[in-house]
Amino acid sequence: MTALNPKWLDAAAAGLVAGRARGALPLEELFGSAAEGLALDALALAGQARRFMRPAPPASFDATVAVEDGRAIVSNEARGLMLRLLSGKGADPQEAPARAVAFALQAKKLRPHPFDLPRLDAFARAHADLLGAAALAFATPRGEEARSFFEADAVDESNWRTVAPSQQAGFIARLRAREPEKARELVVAAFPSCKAEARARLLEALAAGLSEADKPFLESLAGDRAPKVKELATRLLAALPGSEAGQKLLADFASRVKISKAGLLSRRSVVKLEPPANVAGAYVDLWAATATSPLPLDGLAAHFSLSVEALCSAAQEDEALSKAFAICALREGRAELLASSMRAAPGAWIFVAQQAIERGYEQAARQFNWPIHTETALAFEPAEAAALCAALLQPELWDEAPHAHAFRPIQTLLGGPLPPSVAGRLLGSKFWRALVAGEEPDAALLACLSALTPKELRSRMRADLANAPAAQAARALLALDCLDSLDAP
Amino acid sequence: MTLTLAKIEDLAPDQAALDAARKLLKPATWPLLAMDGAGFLWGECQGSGASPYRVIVCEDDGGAKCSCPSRKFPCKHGLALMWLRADGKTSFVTAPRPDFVEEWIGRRRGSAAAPPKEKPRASMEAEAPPPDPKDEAKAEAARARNRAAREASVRAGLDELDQWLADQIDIGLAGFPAAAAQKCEKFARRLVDAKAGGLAARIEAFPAAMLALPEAERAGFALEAMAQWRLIAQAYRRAEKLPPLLAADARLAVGWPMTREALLADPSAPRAKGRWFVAATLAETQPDRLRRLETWLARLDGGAPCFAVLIDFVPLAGGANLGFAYAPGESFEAELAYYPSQAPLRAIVAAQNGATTRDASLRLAPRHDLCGALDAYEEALARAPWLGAWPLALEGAELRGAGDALWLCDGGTALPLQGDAAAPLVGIGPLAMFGLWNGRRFTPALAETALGRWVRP
Repeated sequence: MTALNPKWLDAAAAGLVAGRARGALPLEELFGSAAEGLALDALALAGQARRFMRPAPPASFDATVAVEDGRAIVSNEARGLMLRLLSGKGADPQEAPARAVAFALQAKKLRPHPFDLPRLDAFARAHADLLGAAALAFATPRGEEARSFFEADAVDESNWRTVAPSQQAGFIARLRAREPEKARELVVAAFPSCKAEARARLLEALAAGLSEADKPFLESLAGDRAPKVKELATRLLAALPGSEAGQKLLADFASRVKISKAGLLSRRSVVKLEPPANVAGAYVDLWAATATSPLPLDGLAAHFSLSVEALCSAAQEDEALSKAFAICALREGRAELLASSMRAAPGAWIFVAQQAIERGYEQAARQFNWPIHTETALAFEPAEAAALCAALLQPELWDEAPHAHAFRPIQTLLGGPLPPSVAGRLLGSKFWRALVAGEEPDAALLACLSALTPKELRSRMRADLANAPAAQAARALLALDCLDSLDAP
Repeated sequence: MTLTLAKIEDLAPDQAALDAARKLLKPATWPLLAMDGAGFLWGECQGSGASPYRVIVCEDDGGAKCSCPSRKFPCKHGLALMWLRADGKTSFVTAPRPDFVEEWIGRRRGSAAAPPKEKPRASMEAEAPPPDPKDEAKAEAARARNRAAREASVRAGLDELDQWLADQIDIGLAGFPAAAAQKCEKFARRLVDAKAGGLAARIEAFPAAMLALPEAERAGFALEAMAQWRLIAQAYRRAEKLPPLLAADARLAVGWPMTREALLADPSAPRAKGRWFVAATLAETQPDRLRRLETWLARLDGGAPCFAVLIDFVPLAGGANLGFAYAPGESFEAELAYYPSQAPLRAIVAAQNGATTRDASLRLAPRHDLCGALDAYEEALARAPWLGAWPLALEGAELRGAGDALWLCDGGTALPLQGDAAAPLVGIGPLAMFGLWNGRRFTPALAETALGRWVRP
């Protein structure tokens, strides 16, 4: 046999692949003999020779785009705790501790270590917009162009179209509060090039500060291809002060509200809802909330010739109406009104918060299979949000422990922990003392409340958790450790 | 004391085990807590049964043993004992090791603290009857017969392998990948019957490895795998004409076992003493329902051999717990004994001296670039033709993407990567890296970068 030259190897390999029975293996040519057993020798030689061949590099490599991320990487201590809290089987990126970490990273302008992103995959994808440029690039599907990342306070008119849809909506909502005309103009200009989900978000962002000037734009959306956008536009049109559609909705709703007088000594007004015959049970609350959602409280009160406060007070005996008006109060940022409603029906806060804060997105998520987002269309200043939260949560009046999921809208509204005053009231409440003293408290609720506890009350929370069974308190303590490590200087 | 809460967290099989261990931290749960002052702790933990569970822990390497029936390792009792020690709030009585501790230590792999086996006492020696030379001769003859029968069976199996390979060549390897799963499974069973278990395992594992490759590469991969099987068979048959280490390699590849005791007693087995850095731990589920645990080590003092792999097999029934004794980034001083091979790699810990430590300043310091590391691989492949995965430690290479694939590149040399776990390393510049090259794909395991150490998740 001669030396193993490439031609020999190619001929042998091709013959072995094609098959000897087809006469494709030229043993005579390869070895000078066709003796039995040489086919196996050809196999051994050709196969082994191939193992010494180094792989050919690809024709070209992808251009490497370095992601500039100005945020600092979390400390090593925080890395370990984040991995324990946020990775592994069963780690839900939408649970309160995960969202609290995302909000804390945003507030502190920190980012996860890039090496941890694959292990934090679900978390990083769910909260990419809060975690910095590197996480956003990680979460961008291969083949799609990575969106630009700007800190929330760095988004302006010049760059808002390049940021993530949620950041775009947040920017428009904030601008709307200051300059409603300008916000609408930007949305009108951007609308034709937006996808359905982005259009819906931008429209939601215009919900505050509606005026007659918005009418032409909203009317132009009657022919939008996305049902969600059409539905939103109709809702917003109805909410326009003095609009024909709004007047009709108001009249329709008012026709189902009976006003009367009650009381023997001091006659007071009482309003009662008479829902359609096909709406009953738990659906009455939902019907009332939906029917009132486009209606301003002032308009409703004026229709019944009452003040807003008197209208809400008159509705206190009707659970569905009371909740519906509380939802309107929360949306309109009327903290005092909300507080008095919640004091009358402390358990209603869960429904009110869900409907007022997340209703649009929850519905969209269900209907169009969109992800649930962390932002809210309600753009309140932090102080306003804190006041609304304080009005909404009356833990000292709670009879039973709520489910952890109930706090999700609150966390969305605040974009961070509870205000210290609310957290303090919560830790001093009967409900909390009973919870931690219980034999088997809800571990998810403990973890949720820990995640919502502000920095200054974490040591108190820890002390309380020491009284709870270790297995149930473990995740709550882990969440506290993790948040503490992110707050460490 | 080397036990820390961080170490305990690393050792815990899951969060639930840690939570359960937390409940056992009350001293009242432990009627006995003791230590020998040489790194071993033991205790008795009152469970739900009548008698307490006996728990032993080695502080140096985190090894643990418990008499409870838990499948988790370490179980909650082991973790709790470590936790009590790490906390330092509970006192441990210093006492001589009881029998159950001695027994466990004696059975542990490579334990430096393992006591020498006690010589039989004089009275026992006197009482033991002298071995009957006839019985001994009979037993030896029976062993020889068994060996000869197995030898004949293996050779017959290898002849069948030749025939099977010839059949595949006749049909052509182009169609082999499509039918590989059935064909390989069936033929592997015949080799198991022929007592050539090592070769059977290689053939049985082949289809899964092949299916992980793109279709265009599969026929070529089959050709290379079959070439190795043929070479093993030929080398086994011609063992007397081969260098002793290559012949021993072939016997191991075919499936003749070599026990730990035999390896330790073999004076010709290469040994290497030094500080070993744990560069990777990999777990793979085998077709025989065993999980193969590989701990890859790199020698920090640069002596030869540079690398070693410790291989353990645990039943899948053991649950998700992987049971690695060491974690990447740790290091320990030990003497390793290598299985005989032309390219020694698989080893056992003959003796570990001192504790396993994790020193962040200890770093892998490769001496090759990518090209040099591949040269070393090819040199090893020339010496041991059926070599499997080979460790590459290299510096100066960088990761780049090409379409869906990642590549490790250095100048004109590039290796395709297995999977995309190393994606975070793309674009962060030249790296010092450790990984495994199987001739087709490179599996990155650990890298030292400007952003710190990356360990394969």
